[in-house]
This record gives sequence, structure tokens and C-alpha cells, in this order.
Amino acid sequence: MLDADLVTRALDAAASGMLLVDGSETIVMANRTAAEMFGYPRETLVGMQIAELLPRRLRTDHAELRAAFVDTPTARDLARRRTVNARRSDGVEFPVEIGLTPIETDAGPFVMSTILDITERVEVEREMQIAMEDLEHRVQELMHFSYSASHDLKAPLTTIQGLARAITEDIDAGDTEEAQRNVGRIAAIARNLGELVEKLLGHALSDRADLRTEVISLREVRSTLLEQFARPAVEAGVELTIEFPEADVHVDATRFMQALVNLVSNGIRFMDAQKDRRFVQVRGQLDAASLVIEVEDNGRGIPTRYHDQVFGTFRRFHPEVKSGSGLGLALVYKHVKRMSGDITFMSSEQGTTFRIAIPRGRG
Amino acid sequence: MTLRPVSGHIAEMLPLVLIVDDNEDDRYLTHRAIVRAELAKTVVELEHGVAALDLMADAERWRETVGDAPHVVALLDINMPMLSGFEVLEEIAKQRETSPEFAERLVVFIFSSSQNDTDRERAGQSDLVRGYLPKPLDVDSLRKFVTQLESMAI
Repeated sequence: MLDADLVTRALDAAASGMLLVDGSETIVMANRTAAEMFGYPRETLVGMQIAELLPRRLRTDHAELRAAFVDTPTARDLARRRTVNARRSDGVEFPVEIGLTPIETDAGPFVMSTILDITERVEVEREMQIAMEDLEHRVQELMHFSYSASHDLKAPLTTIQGLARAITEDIDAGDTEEAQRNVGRIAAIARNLGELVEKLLGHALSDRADLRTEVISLREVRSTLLEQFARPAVEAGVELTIEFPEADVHVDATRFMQALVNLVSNGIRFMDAQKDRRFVQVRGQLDAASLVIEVEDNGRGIPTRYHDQVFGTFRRFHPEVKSGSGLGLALVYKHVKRMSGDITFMSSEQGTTFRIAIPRGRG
Repeated sequence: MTLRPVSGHIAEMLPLVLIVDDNEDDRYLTHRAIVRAELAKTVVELEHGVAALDLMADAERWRETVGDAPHVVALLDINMPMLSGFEVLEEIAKQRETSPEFAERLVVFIFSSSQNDTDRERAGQSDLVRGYLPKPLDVDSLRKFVTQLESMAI
């Protein structure tokens, strides 16, 4: 027979906490791991009721659990381990996995509990759960993206097919005028399709391409925007103003410009013909940490029920405005996020204001 | 070529066709095909689902539009901004419950360039939907369309 000291040392070496509990649910023996786990000195632990190691709300359950176990110790119960919350001496709860083994002796029934602190495992599981949900969300997005992309690429081709057949019919019927109109339709569709493919490529690249920061002057940004939009603005009867402070910023110029171009282009395109004075105002502001740009328009606004979809891909909210791939704002969002920035918006029937804030970096 | 409505005795038996499609070119092609095949008494083009629902919700406008057409055949595109064809379908199903007269005369064909099986399945789930027509509307699908219409004893 081994001596008692050796047994204690062996039990202390175990990675699990071990508690021997008698028929009155009093702890009669505890190993070192159990003492450390529950934050009691071993002398205190011995003599405590097992229920004291559980949160108050679980105490009845435990008694039932244990009683049921002691009464009917079947082989299946032996193998079963239970996960419960335990309570440390300082009141903090932590998850444990408990295995109970009944021991029958002449002095009555005992139960040996082996206890594993599974805080880390639970934490890892929780993180994995979050990661899984995130992944599922991304897969959903991707499915939506590929579904929409393939539709938006295929639909115009289908239309072209139909128009080509119509042209044949028109020629057979000697209706050159209608044939010509249909050729014009095909040309317009092909042009839009080309633009869409370019945007899709931009999208694919925006996820992957590195951040290329450089110093650019806001004055240059302003003149580039004016160069591109002065005419379309006049054509749409929109007054375009751009106010930037005299400063250089350190940003990814391509992303930055693409974001601005999309916002300004939207502002002009979604103008509200019902309003007499139509405007798109671009304002820049610099503070110590960031560059804040607001693009405000008094256009038709985004219907409130679509506000949560604004930055999704292939979302279009204005069927009466023909052009638009449904990719613009999604791309803006990606670019701003990639530049560690933030984008918010307010929109009503009075118009829409997009506000982007990006770290100004050095420079 | 001009799109002319069918006239004469046969016209009385033909349905009113509503084309609900956000794409102008597609509306043109569908309209043209239906007129050429003399399948409709009147063709009405609607640019989006909201316009279709507005029309159906307005009893007076609806009666005016439908006139004495024995049936209304709605050709519903799936991919539209704001309300998709399926969402429009759900709304129509709701309206049908409150207006049985409207229900009796209306049938829907889903009309899309999507070859997606889920879209097809989803279309098949609604008892309002009589068929799924692929875009573009070619001779074959038109023929199928006619067969389906005939089986409805229009």
C-alpha cells in the first residue's frame, strides 16, 4: 500500500482539479490544482460544501445532478462529463468541465470530481463562432456579388441578341430606320457593358491591391475633379463647388480620387429636376489627425428603407436614373475602409451628404 | 416599324399584357415580339415594380387600363432595382386577398435572363405564376407562351 503522502503528491501533480466529496456533499480531499483553480487554500476547501463552488443559481441543479449520479452510477454516466459554470472565491464565474466518479466504501458513498478549467477553450470557441459568422456573412456577400455580376453581364448580352434578331427582321421588312435605331441601341449597351466590366475589375483589385500612399496637394485634387465634372454638372444644371484648404495630404491617391469621383458623379447624376437650384458641394477640412471631406447635394435622396444597403454591391435605388452599375458606393466604401477611414451619410428628400474621414498621415 | 395593337374580332379574346421591366431595350423587344405575334389586345409597359403595384392598387386606373380584356398577363422581370420581381409577386399576392375580382383576371409570367434554378423554383412556388419565360423572347419561348395561354382557355 502506498503511503498517504505519496498519494497526495501524485494527485497534486494532476492537471485536473480533484475533489473527493462524501455522502453529505462535503469536500473531504482536494488536490493543489483544485485549490488554485477555485482560489481557496486547500485547508479551507476541505470541509466546504461542494455547492459553494457553484454560482448560487446553479446550486439546486448540482445537488440534483450529483444525487442522481450517486443513486444510479451506470457506465454511461461514468463517461459523461458535464460543462457548468463554477464560482471562484472572489465570486468570478468560470466554465469548467466536470467528471464525476462514484466510489462505494464501507464508510458510505463518495464521489470523486475531476475538474478542468475550460475558460480558454470556451473563449476560443466563441472566437471561432464569431469568425464563422463573419465568414458566412462574407460568403453571402460573395454569392450576392457573383449572382449580380453574372446577371448584369449576361442581361445586356441577351438584349443585344434580341436586338440583333430584330435588326434582321427589320432589314427583311425593308425598315432601315428601325434597323438603325436598333444598331444604336446595341452600341449604347456595349458601351455600358464596357464600363461595367471596368468597374468590376476595379472592385476585384480594390480588395487586393496594396495601399500606395503619396503626397498630393488638395489644390490638384480640386482641379482634377473640376476638369472631369465641370461640364457634366453644367449639362445637368447642377452648381458644383469644391472648397478645399491649401494643404498637402498623404493618402493613397488612386483610392482617394476614385472615392471622390464616385461621390461627385452620384451627386450630379441623382440630381432632383424638381428643385430649381441644384447643387453639389464638396468641402474639405483638415484637423490634426484626419482629412474630412463632405460631399453634399440636394438631389433626390436615398429612400430610408434602403439606408442599410447603401454600401452593398449591385444596389440601385433609383430606377428612373438609367446609368449606374450599382457598384459605385460599394467601391467608395471599400476604398475608404482600406485607407483606414470612415464613411457616413445622411439622406432625405432634401438631398444627401456623404462624409468621409481618413487619417491624413504624414505630409 | 410601328407597334400597332391587334384589332377586330379576335382582339376581343386577347389579354392585356403588362410588361414590368426596368430595362428600356428589353421592354421594346418584348413589346415588339408580342405585337408581331398578335398575342395581346393592348400592351402596357411599366418601368418598375412600384409602378405596377401602384396601378394595381388604384382600382379606377386598373379598371380603365384593363377595360374588357378577359385576362391580364403580367410579364415580370426578376432583377429590378427597388423591388425585385419576387417582391412584386408577394405584394400582388397580398392585394389579391383583398380584391378577388382583380385576382380572377390576373396571371403572371416570370420573364428573365436568369437561368438560375433557384429563381425558377422560387417562381414555381407562387400559384400566381403560370410560367417562366427566358429572355430574349424568341420564337420558341413565344410558342410555349401561347400554349400556356391556350391551356388557360383564353
